[in-house]
Amino acid sequence: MEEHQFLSDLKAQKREAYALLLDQYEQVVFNTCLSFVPNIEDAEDIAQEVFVEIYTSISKFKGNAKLSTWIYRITVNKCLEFIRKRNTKKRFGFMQSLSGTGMPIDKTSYFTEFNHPGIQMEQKEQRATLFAAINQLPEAQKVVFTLHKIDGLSYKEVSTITGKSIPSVESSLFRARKNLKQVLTRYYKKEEG
Amino acid sequence: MENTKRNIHRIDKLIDAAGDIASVNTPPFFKDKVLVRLGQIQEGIQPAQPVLHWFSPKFQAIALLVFVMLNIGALLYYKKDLKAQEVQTFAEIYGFSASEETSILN
Repeated sequence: MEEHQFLSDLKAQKREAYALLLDQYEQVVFNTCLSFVPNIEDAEDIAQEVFVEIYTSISKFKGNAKLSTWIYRITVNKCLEFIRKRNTKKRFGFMQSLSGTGMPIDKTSYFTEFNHPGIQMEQKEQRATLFAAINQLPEAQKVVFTLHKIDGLSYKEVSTITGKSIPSVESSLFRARKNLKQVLTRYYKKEEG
Repeated sequence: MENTKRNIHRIDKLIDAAGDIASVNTPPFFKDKVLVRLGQIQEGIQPAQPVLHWFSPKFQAIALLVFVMLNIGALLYYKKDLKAQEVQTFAEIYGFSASEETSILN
């Protein structure tokens, strides 16, 4: 009953309801954004967009899924939208045409700069390489790997958010790991050579 | 061979440690900023856009191209004009100029 009332208040666009929603979800949304885009400023912008999207499309929320699942879906979509835009910008960037595409991993491809406050300084370099390698994965694998491995969600939670079956999630995760190994092996070989 | 083994171990370790990230608090005033934005949407106020927001990289590239073409055009025109002027000066110095013959001073 209480949740029903809360949803009604959200649909009525009441300020207090959104203040409560922010109290409950700002941390989760912000940390998920950081898992996809490891830059604090970019993640903050995306997280803001997520709450704006919730506000503007709450009327479309039918209650078939849990509110948290719906918010996760919006967050993932907003992050992917951001990454897609950044990757396109990079692809058509002026400097790109001048410098060519020689590097297997371009560490500046989709985030302004690596700035994740949850990662220790001495691990920064390695993690930046990992995030850049994750960016090379196909979108479905990227989502599954990020939600499960970085965000720490269970198979079941990932399955609910992505709308895939648990075996399909497991399979995507297996392929993601395999592809990541290939990308990272190429990178370290090049680095040594 | 040893390098390859070391790399495999390094990569496995890196992938397995992907989740070793501490939870981060939201930036200060995040909630307030969002609530202000939501309030603006409710009131129908669009966030202020920079004056030249429409001047996207596509337009910038076109403007640059037009600028370069204009400069090339101007340079070519100037060179052509300079050449004609040089011929004229040469003719005047050596007395081949038709304008000299028709001068009222002669």
